[in-house]
Amino acid sequence: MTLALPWIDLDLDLGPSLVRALPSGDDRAAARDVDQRLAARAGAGDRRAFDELYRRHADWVYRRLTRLIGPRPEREDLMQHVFLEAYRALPGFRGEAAFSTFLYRIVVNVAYDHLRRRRPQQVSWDELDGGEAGELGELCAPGASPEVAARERQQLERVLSCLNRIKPKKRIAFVLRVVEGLSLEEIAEVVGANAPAVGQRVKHAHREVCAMLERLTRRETP
Amino acid sequence: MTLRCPELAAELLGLDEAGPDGAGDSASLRAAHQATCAVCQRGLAVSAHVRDTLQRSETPLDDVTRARVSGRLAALLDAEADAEGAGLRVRGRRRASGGRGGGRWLWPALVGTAAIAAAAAAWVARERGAGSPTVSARAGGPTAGPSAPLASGQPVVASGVLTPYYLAGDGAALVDLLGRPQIALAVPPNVRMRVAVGDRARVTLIGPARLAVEQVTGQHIRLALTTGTLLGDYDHSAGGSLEIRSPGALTTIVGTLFAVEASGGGSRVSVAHGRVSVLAHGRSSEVGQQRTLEPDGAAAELARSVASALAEHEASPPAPRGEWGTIALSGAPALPGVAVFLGERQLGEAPLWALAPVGDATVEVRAPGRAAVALRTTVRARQASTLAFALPDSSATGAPGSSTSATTAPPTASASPAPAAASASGAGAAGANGDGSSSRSDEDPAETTYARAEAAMRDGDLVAARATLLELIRRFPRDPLAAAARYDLARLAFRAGDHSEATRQLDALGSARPSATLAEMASYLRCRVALQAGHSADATRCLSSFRSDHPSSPHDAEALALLAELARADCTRARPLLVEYLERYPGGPFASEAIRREARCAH
Repeated sequence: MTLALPWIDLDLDLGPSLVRALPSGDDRAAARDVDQRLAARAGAGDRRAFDELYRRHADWVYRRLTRLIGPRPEREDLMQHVFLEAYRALPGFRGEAAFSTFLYRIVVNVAYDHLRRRRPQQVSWDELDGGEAGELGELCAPGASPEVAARERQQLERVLSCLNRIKPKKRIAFVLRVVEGLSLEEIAEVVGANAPAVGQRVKHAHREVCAMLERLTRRETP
Repeated sequence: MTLRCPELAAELLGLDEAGPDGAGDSASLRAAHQATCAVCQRGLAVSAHVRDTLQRSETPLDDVTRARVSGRLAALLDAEADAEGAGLRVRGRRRASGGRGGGRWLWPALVGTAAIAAAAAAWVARERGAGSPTVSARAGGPTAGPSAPLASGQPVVASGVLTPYYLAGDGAALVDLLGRPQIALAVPPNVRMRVAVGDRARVTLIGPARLAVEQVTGQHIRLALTTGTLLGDYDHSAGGSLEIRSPGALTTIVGTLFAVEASGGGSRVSVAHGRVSVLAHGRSSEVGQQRTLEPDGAAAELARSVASALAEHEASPPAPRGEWGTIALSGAPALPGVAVFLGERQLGEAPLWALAPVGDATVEVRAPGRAAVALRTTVRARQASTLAFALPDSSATGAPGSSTSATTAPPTASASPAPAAASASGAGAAGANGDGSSSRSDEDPAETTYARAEAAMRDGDLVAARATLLELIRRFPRDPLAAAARYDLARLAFRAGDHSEATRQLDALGSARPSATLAEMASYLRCRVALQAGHSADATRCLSSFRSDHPSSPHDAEALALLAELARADCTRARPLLVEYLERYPGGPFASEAIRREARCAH
C-alpha cells in the first residue's frame, strides 16, 4: 500500500512532528481553563494531572530555557528541575495568574539560578570567542552546508559569549524583552521586579552587548 | 559606542506598545528618526542579531529527551511521596508557594539537602523493600553500630547520595554502611573508603576524613570536605556539575580526575586529567592537568604520590550496577605492595570489603616477587562472601587460599592457584590493563553509554549506535535508559524498513514497563510500523486505539490525519475524521488537504 502523505514528516528523527505551542486566540481561554483545572488537581496530588501538564508544556519550557541560557546540554536537567519545582509549588497555586505565567516564573528562576552559578568569575577576552565551540557544534544549522553551519556557530558563540558576561538579571530581562518580545510589565511580573527596574536592566544589557560585539568585531578586523 | 539615543531606548523598551494615546504617531515619528539615526540603526541591528541568532539555535525537544525527563521526574516524585509517607517533610510541597516559583536559593541548604537525600534514600529503600525507619535514622549520618542485615539488591544512583561501596584497612566497624545511602560520612584513620556520589561521580576518602552532601540542585551537587583526602573522578557528559567546598576553597569539577586534600591549614587541589576551577583567597584559578594548587595559592607540579593514588582510584572497579553482594577479603602476611584485583580491576589492599555484582567473581592477590593467588567465588544478592588467602613463598608457583562464607545461605567459594602469566603481568601494575590505562567503555555509566549512542546516531553511524544501544541494554537492563534504548532500536529498525525487528524491540519495551511518555511514543511508533509494513487494517486499529488511549498526545493530529488517509476511499468513514481534524486542528499541516477532501465527500 502506498500512501500519499506530502503533509506528514515521516522522519521520526526530527522528534514530534507536531510541536506543541501555546495556543492563541480563542483557544487560549480554553487552554487556560484546562491548565487551571489540571493544576488544581495536580496541586492536590493527582500525578496524572501533573503528567498531563508536563505533556502540554514540556516543549514550551524547553524552548524558553534555550533562549534564556543558550542551547546547552544542561537544558534537560533544568527542564526536569522546572517541573519538579512546579510540582512542589502547585499546592500554593491559586489560579489567580495563568498556569503558563506561573510556569514562566519558575523557568526564569531556574534559568537565573543556573546562570548565576555557572557565570565565569573571571573571563578573559581571549577565552571569550571560542569557549563553547565544542558544545555548539552539533546545535547550529542542522542540515546546512559546512560553511553556513560554521558561520552560524561562530555567530552563536559570539552572542553567547557576550551574554555570558552580562549579569544574569540583566541577561534575563534583555532576552525576555528582545528575544521573547515581552513588555516591560510582563517581564516585571515574571521576574518579580517593577517595570522601571526591568527597563534599566534591558538598557544596560543592550549597551553591554553592543559594546562587546563591537569590540569583538574590532579584534577580528585585520 | 554609547548607544544612548532616547529614541533607541524607547524602541528597545517598547514604550509605545501599550500606549493608549498617540502610539501610532509616536511610532511613525520614531521610524522617521531611525531612518537617519546611525545610533538607532546600529542598536536595533544588534538586538535583531541577538534575537535571530538565539532563535536560529533552537533545537526542538526530541521524544527521547522528553521521555527521559518524564521518567526521572516520575522517580523523583515517587521518592518525595515516599519520604512524605515516612514522615519526612519534603521542601516546598506543603508550603504556600508564591509567584516566585520556589525561590530555591533562599531555602536553607541543609534542610533541602537532608530532605532530598532522605527522599532519595527512602526511594532506594522502597526499591529494596527495606523499611523507612531505618532509612530516616541513617539519613542523619554514619553510625558504626551493631551489624545490620546486609543491604542489598538495587544500586544507588539517586543524585546527591553518598553510597559507600568499598572499604579497606581498619574499616570492619563500618561494613554495614556499604550500599546504604548517606548524606555525611566520617572515615576513621587507617581506613580507605570508596563512595559513589549519585551516578556520575565516585570518590575515595582516605581517613581521617569527613565528607557531607551540602547541596543538591538537579544534577548539580555540592559536597563539603571538612578534613581528609578525597580522590575523585566525575563524568559530566550529560550535564551537571560537582563542587567540593573545603577549608578556604570551593572547587568546581567538570569531568576530571582530581584530588582535594583538606586540613586546618587550607586545601590543596590536584588534577591528573582535565581541569578544575578553584575559588580560593577571593579569586578564581584554573588548575590544569598534572598540576596542584597549594593552600597558599601557589601552583606546583602534581606530586608523584598523589598521581599514583589517583591512578589507583581511576583503575578501581566502579560501584556495581544491578544486583550485588559483598566480598570480604583478609589474608596474611601483610606485605607491602600486596594488591588485590577483582577481575582485571584493582581493588586495593587487604583487608577489604567491597560490593561486587552478583555472579561468579575471581579475586586475585598479587605481590611483588610472589606467585599470585586467585580466589574464585560466587557473589549472591544479600549475601557476603568471606575470603581469606595466604601468599606462597616466592619460590612457589601458587598455593591455595581458603574461603569461607558468612551468610545464611553460604555462597560457593573456591581458591585456586593463579596462572603464572597473571602473576607476572599483574604484580605492581597500576592500571587496570597492565599499562596504566583502562577501558572507558567498560566503566561508562548508563548515561555516558547512551550519550555515545546518541552521538553515533547524530553522526549517522547507525551500526555503532545500534551496538552501543545493545550494550546499554545488556549492561543496564533495569536502567530507565534501557527502555529509551529499546525505543531507539525500534526507531532505527523502522527507518531501515526492518518491521519485524522494530516490532520485536517494541514488544520488549512493552514488557519493560516504560514511562508513560515512552509508552505513548512506542504505541505510536507501532502504528507507524504497521502502516509502513502495509498492514492497513492493523494500522487503522492501532491508530484508533492510540487516539483513544492518548487523547492529548502531541501525535494526535498526525494520527487523525493518518486515519483519514487510510479511509480515503470510503467517504462514510473518512468524512467524520476530516471534520474532526478541521475542528480540532484548523491550522494543522493536513488542514488544507482535509478541506479539499471533505468538500469532495460532500458532493
